[in-house]
This record gives sequence, structure tokens and C-alpha cells, in this order.
Amino acid sequence: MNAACATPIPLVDLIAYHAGELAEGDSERIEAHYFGCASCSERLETLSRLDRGVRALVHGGGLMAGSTAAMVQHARTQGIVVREYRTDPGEHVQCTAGPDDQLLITRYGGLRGITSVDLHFRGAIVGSDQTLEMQMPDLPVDQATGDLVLIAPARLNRSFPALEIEVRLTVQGPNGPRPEGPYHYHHRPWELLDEDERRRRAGR
Amino acid sequence: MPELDAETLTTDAELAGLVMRAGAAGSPAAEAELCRRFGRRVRLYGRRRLQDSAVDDLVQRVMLIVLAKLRAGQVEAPERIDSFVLGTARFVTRELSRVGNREDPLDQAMPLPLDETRADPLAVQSLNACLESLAMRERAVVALTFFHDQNATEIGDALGMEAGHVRISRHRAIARLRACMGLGAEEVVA
Repeated sequence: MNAACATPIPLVDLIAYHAGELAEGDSERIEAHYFGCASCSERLETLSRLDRGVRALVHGGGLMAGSTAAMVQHARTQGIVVREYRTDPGEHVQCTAGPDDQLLITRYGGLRGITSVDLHFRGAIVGSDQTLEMQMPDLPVDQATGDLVLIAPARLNRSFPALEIEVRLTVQGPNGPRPEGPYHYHHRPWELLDEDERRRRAGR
Repeated sequence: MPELDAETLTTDAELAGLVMRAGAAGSPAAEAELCRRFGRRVRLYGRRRLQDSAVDDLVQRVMLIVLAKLRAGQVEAPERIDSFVLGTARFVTRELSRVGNREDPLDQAMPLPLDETRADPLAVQSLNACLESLAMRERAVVALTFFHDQNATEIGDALGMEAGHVRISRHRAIARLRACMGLGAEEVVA
């Protein structure tokens, strides 16, 4: 444990430094401090460890988060294997998760001008009366595409049985909440599909 | 000169003084500890200023210059060793950043393995559990910050948020992640 710093750099400034947001003079002031301060350099190092940890998590296909189409493209350029499906309200999509997929992207369209949605996922297990349900409040909408871009670990989807999925969104608009959707996904496990069906469910 | 337990020296200045007094005869434990402490800070500096692939080189070059200057008694103010290391890091970074610059290969090694200037990686499964405890919007901000290298303005544009709101959300999320991972508590913005 390092001796405490009498004048610690505020975390908000360490984050801004790490993110490259500071003017050169402010960066130099922070560098002059942490080079002489074991405590603050350790706090900055923690940000670097979190940064690398999040990268490792995404590369390992472990992230579940709302995101943007640009970040998905960035993941592709990093060599991450991505399967992507996009639906507009009322549309149906045949989907699966392949054995090599790392991230499974679902995109929900029709949300131009919207910044926040609540998501309700309901998956009826085919051949049973059981259902899987999930709620995700306050998901951000990608402003460049007008889509909700949801990243999920492909291994999570590979663990699913055959599901008839209905996703409903509640849009938080300027005139109060309103429903959007439903968006329909017909998920089938990869191992149950023949080659033609796998191609049909290739996504983008 | 008798070898001291360098790790028990409380200040960087004492450590620098010890290396300087040992001179050419060397003080291996003190030199290794100096590299351990400052190598990590130079690494943080390099990550902000250089491509990842150049950071190891920066750390080694800076620490070898610093040690050589201390051994030769050419550091005027060893009590401000932090300023000397930072100045050296700035100089070497400029040299490494020059277009087409090819630095000579290093002909010596640091007195400790380079790995000891690297922080231990976080356990990804624990980090995932901590991320899942965040609100979805905070998770998105964290992913865009660290994975997509976007700043607050870029994230604000991408998600339809004010940059100031992104900064608050990012600060809150990171403070919570630090606490959840047992990396030390920071004040969480309400």
C-alpha cells in the first residue's frame, strides 16, 4: 500500500487524461504529479488495467451491452467473429449462433430521434410451455443508425434451446413512453440445422 | 558499499541517492527497485503518447539512461528524480516518434525483468461480473471508452448524450468498477 497523496489528482481528471481529452498543458501537469506520486500513479495504472480488462473481455466474446454499429465494425477489424441480425418493428428473423461466433449482435430499427429504450425479451421454449424473460431498462440508441445495437456473448446464445423470441421496446420519447415493436427472432441451435438452414441464418 | 534493502526505502529520492552514491560499482537491489517504481510510471506515460508496440522500448531506454546518469553522478538533483525521469521520458518519446527514426538496438538489459514494470491483468470473469452490476447505459459508456477508444464528446454524439453527462456516467461507472474489483475506493458521483 502506498502512502496516501496529500493532493490526489481527482479521478475525473485521471480518466480524462487516460482518454486523451486534456489540453497538453493539463496533461503535462498530471504527468508531473504522478511521476512523483506512487499513490496517484497506482490509481492511473488501475484505469489502464480496467482498459485492458474490458478489451480482453470483448475479445473473449464476453460482453453484454448496448453499443453502436461503429463499435461493432471496430470489433470486426480487430478480428473478433461477429454474427449480426437486424430487424425493423414487426419483422421476423431466423437466427442461430455458430460454433466460432464470439459476439452476437441484434439490431432493432425504427428508433430515429430516440435516445433511450427499455427492452423486454420474452423467449418461448419450443415444445414446452416454459419461457425465458429479461428486462433491460434505459438502453442507449445508436444515433448514427437509429438502431438499438445490442451486443451479447455468442456462447450465451449457443446455450439457448430453440426459442420463439419476441422483443418489445418502450421508447422514452418527449411525449412520454410509447411501445415499439414487436421484433421477432426464431432461434434454433446450430447443431439442429442443416447446411442450407445455417446459410439462411447467416445474418450480416 | 553495503547493499541495503531497497524496497524498505520510503522515498524515490533516497533510492536515487543510493544508486548515485554506489556509482560505477552499482547497487543492484536499489537499481532494480528504481526501475520497478519508475518503469511503471514511464509505461503509463508511453501508453498515452506512443503506439503500444513502442512502450516496452520506451521503458527500457528511459530507465537505462536514468541509471547511467545516476551511476555517473550526472543527475544534478537526485531529490527530484521524478522530474529527471519524466524529462528523459519526454525526450526519448520525441526521438521514438520521429518519422522514419530508427533507434539503435539496446545493448544492455534493465536490472529487472520487463514484466515487473507491467501491472497484473485483471481477472476477466470478475470484471465481467462487475460490469454486469452496472446500468446498461454505464456499461455502454465503459465499452465505448475502453474498447472503442472514444472520448466523451464522441460517445455523446454516438448515444445522443451531452458530453458532460457522459463524463459523469463514465466517472460513476469506473469508480464502481474499481470498488467492485477491490482496486480501491473512489468517490462516486451521485
